[in-house]
Amino acid sequence: MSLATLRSRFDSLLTAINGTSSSNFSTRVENAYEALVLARVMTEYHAVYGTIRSFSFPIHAGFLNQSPGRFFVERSFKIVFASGQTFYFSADVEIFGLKAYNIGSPVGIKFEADVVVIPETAVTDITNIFNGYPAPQHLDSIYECKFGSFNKGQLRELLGLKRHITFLQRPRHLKPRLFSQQIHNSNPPIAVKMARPTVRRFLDGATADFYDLEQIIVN
Amino acid sequence: MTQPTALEIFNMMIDEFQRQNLTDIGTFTLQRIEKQNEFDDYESDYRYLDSALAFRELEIEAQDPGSTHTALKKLLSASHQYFSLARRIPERFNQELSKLTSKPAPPIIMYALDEKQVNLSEGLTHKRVNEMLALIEYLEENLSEEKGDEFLNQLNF
Repeated sequence: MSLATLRSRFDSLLTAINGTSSSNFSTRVENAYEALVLARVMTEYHAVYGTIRSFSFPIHAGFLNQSPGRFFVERSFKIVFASGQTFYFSADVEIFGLKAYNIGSPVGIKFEADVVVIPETAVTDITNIFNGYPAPQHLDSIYECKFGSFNKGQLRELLGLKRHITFLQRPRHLKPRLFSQQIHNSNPPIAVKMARPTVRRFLDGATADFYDLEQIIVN
Repeated sequence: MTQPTALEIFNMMIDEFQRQNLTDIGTFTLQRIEKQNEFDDYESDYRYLDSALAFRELEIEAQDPGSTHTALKKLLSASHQYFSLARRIPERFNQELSKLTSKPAPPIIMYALDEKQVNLSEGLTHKRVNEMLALIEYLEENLSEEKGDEFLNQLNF
């Protein structure tokens, strides 16, 4: 085989892998990675909250969505814990910021979150008052998922998302630690994390610690 | 693999990855670090890092005849890591769900922008992904300069 043949083989393999759909391989990887992170977050909640009384899959098969939007229980996983807490786990949801938190109504711009965890107690409020878009008072934790792309600005993105949904102040109540970062400087106490398949250097630890930020490894 | 061949293969791979929008592979050429070092401890490292820039830095390294094999080795390793981690996502998804329920996990379905359903599990475990991994492994096995270019005649993919 010549080098030209090798190139041709390489090209045909990559073309077949990319496929003919509207999203190429790297887009599909990024989307599927959200599903893996969603599943890993659920096992973390299992480790934190203990015995599962019931577990439900989404009623709609397509729980991932290329155009993020409202939170739907039908597109979410649900876990009822024996200890009494119930959470919904959902992907690609747009969320309101602190303005909506302050005045208790659906106002202000929305940001996309790749994975969100919502207590069942918040669902009626989200659906009836907030048109399906959760606000900070409805969120238990959120996750940004980055399988491939990397740039230093991603920490700023994460920081911006954090500032969109929490005040920099002591939380009114402590929540259980998720993964390895305890929330100590965010109110409402929403865990905000970035998931990657391998760890890459990010920025200084002081900033991360101050804002309760963490990279988690999911692979 | 001789140096000229290594350089040709390197250039070919970079071209193809860029043309097929797979520059995310560049991320896997960046230094991998331990979890406890995920954040620089304020060492004032302001070098800009991103996936595409990582490719360009590797290209510069490859042009030096003394570093071509090293650059190709990094690229092959990064490509292998990218495709093998991607291929494992559906299996890992099932493994995580099996810790929560005994029911079989559903395939990973996504609603595309046109509201069509796309089965991501199928795309990531496509047989061509396995063939790509086999080709990368074959090139890695024959990377050594002492082996010459004979491997090209034995290539059967």
